[in-house]
Amino acid sequence: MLVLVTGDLHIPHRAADLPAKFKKMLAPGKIQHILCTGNLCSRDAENFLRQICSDVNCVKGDFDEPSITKDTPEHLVVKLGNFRIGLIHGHQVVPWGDKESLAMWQRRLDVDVLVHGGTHQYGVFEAEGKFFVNPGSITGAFSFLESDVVPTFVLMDINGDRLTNFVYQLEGDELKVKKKEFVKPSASSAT
Amino acid sequence: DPLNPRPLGVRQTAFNTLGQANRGRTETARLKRKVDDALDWELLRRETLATYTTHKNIPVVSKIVDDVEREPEVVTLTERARRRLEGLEEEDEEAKGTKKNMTQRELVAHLESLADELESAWGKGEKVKSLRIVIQSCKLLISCPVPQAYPSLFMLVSKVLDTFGRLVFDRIKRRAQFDERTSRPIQTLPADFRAEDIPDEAKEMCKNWFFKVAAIRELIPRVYVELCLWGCHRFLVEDRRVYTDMMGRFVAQMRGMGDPLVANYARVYLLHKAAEIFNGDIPVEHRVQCFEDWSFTRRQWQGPHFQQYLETSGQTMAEYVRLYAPSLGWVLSWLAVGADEGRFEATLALAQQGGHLLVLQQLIAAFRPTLIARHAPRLVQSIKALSGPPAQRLPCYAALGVQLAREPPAPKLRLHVLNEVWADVAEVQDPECYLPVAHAWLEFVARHLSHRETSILVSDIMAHLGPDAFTAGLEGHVQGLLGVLLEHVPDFHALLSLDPLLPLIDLLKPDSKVDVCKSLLTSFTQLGPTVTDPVLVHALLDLCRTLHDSLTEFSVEDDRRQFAQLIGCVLPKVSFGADLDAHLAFFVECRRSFSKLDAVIEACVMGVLRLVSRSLRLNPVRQHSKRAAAFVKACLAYCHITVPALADPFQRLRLLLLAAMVAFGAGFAQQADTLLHTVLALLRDVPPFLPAVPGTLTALQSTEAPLGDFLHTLLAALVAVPGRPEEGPLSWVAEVVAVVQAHPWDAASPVRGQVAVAALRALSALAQEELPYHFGAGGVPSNDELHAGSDTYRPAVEALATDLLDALLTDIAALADGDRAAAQRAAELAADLLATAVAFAEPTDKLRSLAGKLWAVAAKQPGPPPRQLALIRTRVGCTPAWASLAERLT
Amino acid sequence: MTLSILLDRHGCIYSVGEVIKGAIIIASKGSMKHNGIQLQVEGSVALQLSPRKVGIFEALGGPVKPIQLMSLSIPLAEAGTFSDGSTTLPFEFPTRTKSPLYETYHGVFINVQYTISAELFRGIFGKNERQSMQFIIIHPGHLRPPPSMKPVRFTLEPHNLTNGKDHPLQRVPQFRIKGQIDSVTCDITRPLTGSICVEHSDTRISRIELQLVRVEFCSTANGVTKEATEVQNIQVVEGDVCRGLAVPLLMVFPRWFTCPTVVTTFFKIEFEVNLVVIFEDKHQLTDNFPIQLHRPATA
Repeated sequence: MLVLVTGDLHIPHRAADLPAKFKKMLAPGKIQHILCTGNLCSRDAENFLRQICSDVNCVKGDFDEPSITKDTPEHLVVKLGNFRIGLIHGHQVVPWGDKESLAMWQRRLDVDVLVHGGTHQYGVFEAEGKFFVNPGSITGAFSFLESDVVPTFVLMDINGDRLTNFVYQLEGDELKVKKKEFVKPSASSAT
Repeated sequence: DPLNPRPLGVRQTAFNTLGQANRGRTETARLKRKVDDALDWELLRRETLATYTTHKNIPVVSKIVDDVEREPEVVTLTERARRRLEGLEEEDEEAKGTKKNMTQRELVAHLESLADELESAWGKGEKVKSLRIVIQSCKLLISCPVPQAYPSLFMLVSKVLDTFGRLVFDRIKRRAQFDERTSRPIQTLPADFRAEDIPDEAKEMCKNWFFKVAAIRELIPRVYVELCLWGCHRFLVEDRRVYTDMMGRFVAQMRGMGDPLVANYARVYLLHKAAEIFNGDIPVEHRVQCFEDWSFTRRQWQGPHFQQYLETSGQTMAEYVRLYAPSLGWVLSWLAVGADEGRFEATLALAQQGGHLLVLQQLIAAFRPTLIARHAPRLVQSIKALSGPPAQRLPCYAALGVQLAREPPAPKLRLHVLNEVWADVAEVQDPECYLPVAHAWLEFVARHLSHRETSILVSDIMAHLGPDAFTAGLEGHVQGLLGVLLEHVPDFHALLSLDPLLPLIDLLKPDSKVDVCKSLLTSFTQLGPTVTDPVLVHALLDLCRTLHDSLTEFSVEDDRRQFAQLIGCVLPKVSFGADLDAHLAFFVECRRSFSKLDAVIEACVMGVLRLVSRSLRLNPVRQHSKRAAAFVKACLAYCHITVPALADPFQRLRLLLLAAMVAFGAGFAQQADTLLHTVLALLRDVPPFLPAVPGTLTALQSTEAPLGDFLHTLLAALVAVPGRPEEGPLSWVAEVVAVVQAHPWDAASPVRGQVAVAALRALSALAQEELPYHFGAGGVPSNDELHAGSDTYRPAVEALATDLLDALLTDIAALADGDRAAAQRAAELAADLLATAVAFAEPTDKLRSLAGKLWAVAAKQPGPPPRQLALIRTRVGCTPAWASLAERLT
Repeated sequence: MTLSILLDRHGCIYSVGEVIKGAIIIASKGSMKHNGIQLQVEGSVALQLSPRKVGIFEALGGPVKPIQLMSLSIPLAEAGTFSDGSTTLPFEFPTRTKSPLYETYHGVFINVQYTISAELFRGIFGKNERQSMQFIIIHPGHLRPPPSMKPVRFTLEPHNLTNGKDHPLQRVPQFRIKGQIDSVTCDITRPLTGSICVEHSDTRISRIELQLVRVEFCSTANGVTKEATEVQNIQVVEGDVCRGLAVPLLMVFPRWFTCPTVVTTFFKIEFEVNLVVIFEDKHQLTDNFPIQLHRPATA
C-alpha cells in the first residue's frame, strides 16, 4: 500500500505550483492514500491532491483559510495496515519539531506513527518504538525561519507491520530519494 | 422575437455555458453530436417547441369525445351524396362542435390533458375512446390555420401518438405473455422476440387493431395512427422486405396531403418511426424519395392560391419557408446518413432548383462535414448564386461555418473560402444577422487558421458591435463568441492579447461579464505558466477588477470567497522577472484595486514576502546593497501598512508574525521588532468574542481556540527570536506571558493553562546552550549566539519560568478545588505539566516534590486514570534522572 | 352450474371443408341430474328488413324466409348425472354439406351466419340451460380469379362527364385527372390499390375519397330487388393536392362487412368502388368501378 505524505503546499501564496518533476511522478492511480499535514491554502491545491487519489486525510494548518477548512480537524488518526498513524500540522508544537513535544502528541493520540509538518523541513526519527515523520513542504514554500526551502515529500510503503519511508528531495534540479525502514515492535515486546 | 427562429445550424446553447469545468464535457458532447446529433429526436422536439411559438389564437375543437361505441352507420349512396352537398361531411359530431380559440399555452395544456385522458381511458380498458382521442389529436394536424405554430403543434401531437403506439404495443405484448382467460402466464418474451413466439390470440388482437385503424376515414389521422402502430407489425412478421414495402407505401401516401407543409411534417413522423422499425437502417431509396417528393411539391408555392394563403395567414414568403426548417432538417439529415458523393450531388442539384436558401442551409447542416468541406468553395458559389440581399444568405453561411469548424477544407482553400464568405458577410451591418455567422466562423478560424486571422475576425466583429449596435438580445452571441475563443485559442496569452477582447467583454451585461471574467481567469489559473508581458498583466488585472468591482455589500459570501480565491490564484502568476521594484509596484496597485477582498490582500502580502526572499537570493548574505536593503524595507513597510486593514484579527496576527519572521530572517532586526511589536499590541486587543465571519454581522464566537493556536505558534517562533537589545533577551516571551495573564480568559477555559505550559516549554528550550533552531542564512542571530557565556541569561530564564510555574500551580490548585469539570481540567493540566517537566527539566528536589504533587492532582481525576497517565509513568521510569520518582507515582 | 362452448380455434374462423372441433364444458357445484345434452349447428342466409329504413323490401310484404345452409343435431350426452366440478364433452363436425356454404357476412339486408348452440335438458322441473355462439365460415378459393389482373385506367375530364345533371355543365371547372385501379378483381385479404394523379384543375380540390359500396340483390316473387349501401369511405387525398404527383389509392377491405362476391339463385352480393373527387366549390365527380372480391385458396 502506497501512502503519499505531504503538506505545507501554500498554493498559491508562497508557491504557484508543485515542482514539475514531482507533479509528473504523482500520476493518478499509483497511490492509495494521502496523508496531508495541512496548509494547502486553496481549493486548487486540495483538488490537486484529490485527483492523485480520492482518499485524502488532511488536518488544518495555521494558514489554511478557515472558511474552506471549517470541517477539517486539528488532528486525526488513520489506521493503515497495522499502523495507527496520527496527523497534526505541527505549528502548535512548542518548540517546533521538538522531539519531546512530539512524543507528547504521539502519546496523546496513542499512535505508532506521528506525521507532523509546519517547519517545511523534512525529518524522520524513531523514538521508543515510535516513528515520527515530517514530510517537509512539497512546493518548497518559504517558512517562518527559512527563505530557501528544499521541496520534499514522503511516500510510505506500508505492508503489515513494516513501513518503508521514502523521502523525495529536489535540490536544484536533482532528485534525491532516501529510504528508511520502520518495523512496528510487536505488542508483546513493548510491555 | 420568439417567432424568429435561430438558424438551426448554430447551436448557441452549447456555448452559453462557459467555463473550464464544462470544457471537457462540451468537447465530448460535440464529438457525440457529430454522430447522432442531427438524428436526435428529443433535441429536434425541444428546439422546435422553443422556436415555433405564436401569440395568435389557434382554433381547436376542444370537446372531449364520448366513449360510446357506435354501430357502423348504414349510409345509402344518395344519403352520402346529400351530406356531401350540404357540407355535413364530418362524421364525428365533435368535429362539428364549436371551435375554441386557444393560445399556444392553452393548446399545450389541452394536448397534455388529451394525453392524460388517453392513458386513463386506456387504463380503464376503454380502447375505442382511446383511439378516438388519438384520432382527435391527429385532426389538429390536418390543416394549419395558424401555420406559425404548426411545427410545434406537430411535435405535441406526435407525443400523444408515440404514447398510444406504446400502449397498444405493450397491451399486445402482455397478451402474448399472459393468458387472460386462464390467468396463466404463457412466456416471458425477450426484447428481440420473433413473430413465431407470438400466440394466435395476440396476433389476432394485433390484426384487429390494424383493421380498425385502416377504416379511419380521414387520410391524415389514418396515416398517423398507422404509423404509430407500425411497430406492432413485429408481432406478425419480421421480414425486412415487408417493412420496406410498407415504408414505400407510407412515403407515397404523404403525397395525398395537399398542404406541402403538412405533408412534410408527416414525413418527419414517418422517418421518426422508421428509425425505430429499421433500427436506424432505413432503406435509402425511401429516404431519398421523401426529399424528392418534397422538392416536387415545392411547385405549389407558385400558384395564385398560395399568394392568397400567405396573405390570409399573415406571413411573408421567408417566414413561411422557415416553417419547414425542422422538417427539412430531419428529412435531409436522414437522407444524408451514409451518403456518398453521388447522393450528395443529386441532393444538392435538387436543393438548388427551388432557389431557396433555407434548403441549401439545411442541406449544408445535414451532410457529413467531410463532404461539406470537400465542396465548400462550390457551396459558397451556390449560396452566392441565389438572389436576394446578403443578409438572407447569412444563415447559410452560418451553417457552413459550423460544418467547416468541425472539418476544415484543404489547407490551401481555407483562407480562400473565408474571404469569399466574408466578402458577403462583412457587408451586413445588422448584428442580429451578422453575429450568428461570426460565431460559427470564429470557431472555424480559431481552430483551423492562424492567430492572425482570428485577430482580424475579432476586430471585424468589434467593428460590427459598436456600442450603439449592441443590444441585450445579442448577449448570448457575445457569450458564444467568447466561449469559442476560450475553447479554441490554444495559447492563453494569444487570447488575452487580442486587442478587442476586453471591449467585447465590456459589452456584456454585468452578470454575464462577471461569468466571462470568471471563466477566463479560471482557465488562466489552470494553464500554468507565469505572465510577464505587461499588456497581458494589464488585461488580467482588468478582468480581476471586473470581478472585484462587481461585489457590493449585498453580494453573497460564496461569490466573495470564489472571486477572492480566483484573484488570489491569478496574482501569484504574474511575474516581472528580475524587476522586483516593478513587482512591488504591482502589489501596491493590487492593494488599491482589491480592497474589498481580504483573501486577495493576504495573497498580496504573501507575494511581497516572497519578493523579500527572492531579493535575498539575488543578494548574497549580509551584503545588501543600499538599494536592495531599501527594497526589503519597502516590502516590509508594505506589509506593515497593508495588514492592519484586514478584518480578521487572527489573519492580521499571522501575517504580521510571518512578516516579522521574514524580516528577522532577512537580517532586518529593527523592522522585525516593529512588526513584532505590532503583533503584541494586536494581541492585547483580541476580544474574547468575535463574529464568526470577521467583518460581517454573524453570531459571535469565542476567540479562545484561535488565540491559543496563535500563541503556540508565536511562542515556538520566539524561541529563535532575539530579545530587543534595550529590554533584555527574554523581553518578547515576557511580554507574551504578560499578555496571556492579562487576557480575560473564560474561567472554564483550558487554553490559558495550555499556553502557560507551552511557554514553559519555550523557556526550557531557550535555556539550552544551543537553541533547537535559528534563522537561515543572513538572518539575525538568536539568543544562544548573542548571550553565550552570559551569567545573567540563564537565571533570567529560570526566574521567568519560576514565575510562570508558580502562577500555573496556583491556577491548578484553584481548579482542583472547583467543581467536577474544573477538577478534570486541573488533572489534565497537571498531567501536561508533569510530562513537560519530565521531558524538559533537570530533576531538582523542588521539581521532584512538585512532580509528586502534580501526580496527585492528575491521579485524582474522576474515573480510571487515562492511558496518558500510565504512559507518563512509563516515561518517568525510563528517564534515568527521574527514575527514582517513578515508584512514588502510583 | 355453468355451460360453455369452446372451439379449438381462436377467432372461431373455419374454412369450408374443415372439421370444427370443440367441447362443451359444464361446471357444476355438487352432482347434478340431467336429461341429456344436445348440440345444434345452424347456418342460414337471413334477409333482414331493417326497421329503420323504409325501403323497397317493405314493399314486398311479409318477412322473407331464411335460407338454411346447414343444420346438424348432435346428441352429446344421454340423461344422467354430472359429478361435482367440471365436465368436458368434446364434439366435432364437418363443414361440408350438400348445398354450398357461403361465407359469413353481415350486410344490411343480407346476413350469412353460423351458430352452435348447446342445450342441457333438466327434465320437467328444471329450466333448460342453453348457450350459443357464432362461428365464422370462410371459403378460400371459392371463386377463381381471372388469369390476368389487368389494371383499369381512367381519365376524368369535363367532356367525358356522364352525370352532371345537378349542376349545369358550364359551371364545371376545367380539370384532367388520370389514374388507375390496379385490378378490379381483388383479393379480399389484400388492399385495393391504384393511383390517381391530378394533372390539372382550375378549381382547388377539397379531397378525394374511395367509397366501398356493396350491392345486395334479392330475388323475390316480384323480381330482383337491389340496394346499394356504403361499407366504408376512405380518403386518399386531403386538400388541394399537388398537380402532377401520383397519389396512391389504397383501401383495406373491412372484415365481416365484406365477403367474396356471391351469386346464387336467391341472392347476390356484389361490390363497387366509387372514386369521388370533391372540389372546394362543392362540385364533385364520381367514377364507378365494379369489383369482384375473392378469397384465394390458402397455400
